[in-house]
Amino acid sequence: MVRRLVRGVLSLALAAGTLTLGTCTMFTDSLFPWYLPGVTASLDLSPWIDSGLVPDDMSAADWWLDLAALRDSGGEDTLFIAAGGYRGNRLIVLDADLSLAGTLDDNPDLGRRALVDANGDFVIGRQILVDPLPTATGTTPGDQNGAAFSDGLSNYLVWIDNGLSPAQLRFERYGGAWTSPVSGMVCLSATDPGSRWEMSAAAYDPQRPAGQEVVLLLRKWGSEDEPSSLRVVYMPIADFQSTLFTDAEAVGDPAIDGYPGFTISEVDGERAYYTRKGIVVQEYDERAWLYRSGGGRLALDFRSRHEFEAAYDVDGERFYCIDKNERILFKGRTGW
Amino acid sequence: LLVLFGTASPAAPQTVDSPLACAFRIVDLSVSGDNARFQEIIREQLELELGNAGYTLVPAGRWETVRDERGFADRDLTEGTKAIAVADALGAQLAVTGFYRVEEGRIVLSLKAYDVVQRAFITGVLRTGTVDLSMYTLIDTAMARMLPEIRLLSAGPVPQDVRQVKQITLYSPDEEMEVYLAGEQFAGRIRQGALTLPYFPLAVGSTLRIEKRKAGHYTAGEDLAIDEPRVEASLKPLTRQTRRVTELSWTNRQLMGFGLAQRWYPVPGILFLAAENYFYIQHDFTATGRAVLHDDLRFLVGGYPFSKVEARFRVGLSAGLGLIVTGFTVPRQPVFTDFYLNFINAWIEWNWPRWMVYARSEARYHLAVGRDLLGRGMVGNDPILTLGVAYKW
Repeated sequence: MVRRLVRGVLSLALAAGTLTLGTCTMFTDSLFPWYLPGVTASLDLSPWIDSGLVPDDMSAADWWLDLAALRDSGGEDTLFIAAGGYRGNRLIVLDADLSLAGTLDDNPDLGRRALVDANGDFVIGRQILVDPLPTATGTTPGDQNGAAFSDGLSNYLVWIDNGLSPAQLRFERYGGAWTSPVSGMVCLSATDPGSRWEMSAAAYDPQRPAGQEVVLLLRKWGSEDEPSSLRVVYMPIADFQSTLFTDAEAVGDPAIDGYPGFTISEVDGERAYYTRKGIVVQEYDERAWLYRSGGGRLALDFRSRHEFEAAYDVDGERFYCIDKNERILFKGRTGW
Repeated sequence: LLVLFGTASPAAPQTVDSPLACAFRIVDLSVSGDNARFQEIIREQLELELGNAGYTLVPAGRWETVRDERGFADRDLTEGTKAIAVADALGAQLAVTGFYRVEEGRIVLSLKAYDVVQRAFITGVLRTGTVDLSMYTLIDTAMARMLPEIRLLSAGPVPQDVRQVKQITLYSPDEEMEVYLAGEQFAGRIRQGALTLPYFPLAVGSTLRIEKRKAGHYTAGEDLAIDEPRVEASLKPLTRQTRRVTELSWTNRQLMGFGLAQRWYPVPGILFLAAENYFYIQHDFTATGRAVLHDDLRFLVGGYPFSKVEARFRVGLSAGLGLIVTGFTVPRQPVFTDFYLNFINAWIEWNWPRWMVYARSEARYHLAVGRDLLGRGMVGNDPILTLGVAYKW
């Protein structure tokens, strides 16, 4: 009898083992958020995102949150968390160790846009912030949720004009103090004139290869026949510094198709980020995918059952994730 | 030829006429006297079945006369020797006797049949049921249990060389186990591994139903084939009652750990209370990853509503409340608590006397009480499956 029992147990163990080996995520799979093993630090945000700002009974999906990790010229990362409910908003500024630098309340110019401008000041939305952070000193032109970047000499606002066919990539170049704008444009996808586009993100990285310092993440709207996609375009900063494309009549030549880049098919691309390891696309299936220009992709699987927002440092080494239900910030390694 | 005819003629009436049967009154042993009406119901059913089995029934007036002559009461006829004596005086081949008791809406019915010629117990049956229309079914099933052997008796003349059992010796590893005949008559205890049953008339070729009882063990019945005048039979061992069970388990989505559980059975083998703890590590197996520790403690009430205790495969159900505590191996991180309602666990179990192996599926509703990670609601699209092995104490 014991022998039969042992044989039965071994059979079950063999079946379980076979199943285990056949599924590579068997041992990493968990009911809990998959990013937890990568966590290196955390901070309870409830003292700042308190019931005065967001009522406790408010659903996590009903209040807004923007999160950005910006690296200043000294190489230090600063984290900006903008949150708001029905009763105003609050900007929370943290250093790389998640120590509080300061907060700023009820600023109407806060938004998704986040960059270090040509003066070395931080810009969140349209609000310019200087030391001691977050001291508000003025505002920038443009949409507070629009894309922008700086090359250290000038500031650039970039957007898509879908009012023309083909759609046009437009930009405005400003001086360091966000003055003296110069406009420019470039035709967008001459081979696909009927498409509509949206600027998901723009970045300038001097560490990129010469002639590809500007990275534009262009979201192509999907249709019933074709799912949305994300076009990654590398452009030389020189094209934005010259007046080559300032003639609005020069539609179609040169087209953006002529620039290097790649397309990420069948992604929503609304939440996409540039990092030095590749392009991070936050999907609605609670995964973040890192797409490398050389091909291939790596996943950072959040698998959180809570509402959350994530951001990444420019190196792509670290993630910042806010669990909106618990109002807690996690900092961790991406593992990419 | 004379010798041939001389021996054949006395047997001729037995082969032509249907055999006689004495169906004595089934005695009402109820405390209350309100249940006499069942006597008639049982009698009618009994007479009908015996008639269908080929017997002619001795009229009640005749056997009552003999009963009175011998100074017996109806209750005395529940004893086999007295029933046989009365039936024998009337020339019957079969005597059927028995009793019933009604208590709190339930009836216990006991019937016994005796071979009068061989002065041997043929068969007996004990049935319980509710006092309602299903009582007819109860009587039917009781009769159905007895009829095969009664029919054998009525099938023809009784052979002159039918043998009676001289001795029955039972062997069992269950020391002090009590043995009952036909479910009610105490026959003795197993001592030093054996029990010799007291003599009672029993024909070779019949089957003896015994019931085995021992404290801390499940009561079990066993049929013994009586095929020799001297029978030596080894009884199957009794199964110990399950009062405590210790489990070791593994669950998908938390394979880097294991679970330990302890069950206590207020109703042995049927109903239990359990405490279960599952500790596991979450890791992404990257060079920079750090282990996250989860400890899942829950308290359950469970049982086996559909399965007998000795069934080889059993289906069980349980439910309860649980709490998962999550901590980080990275210093100065918060501790999270996820409370949940474990509203159903269902498992199939491969059941052995001391061990069991099971596969379990569960459903949880997380309550999002306190600082939690899993939020409110059902967990996961994939089922939570557990394989476990358990030892019974």
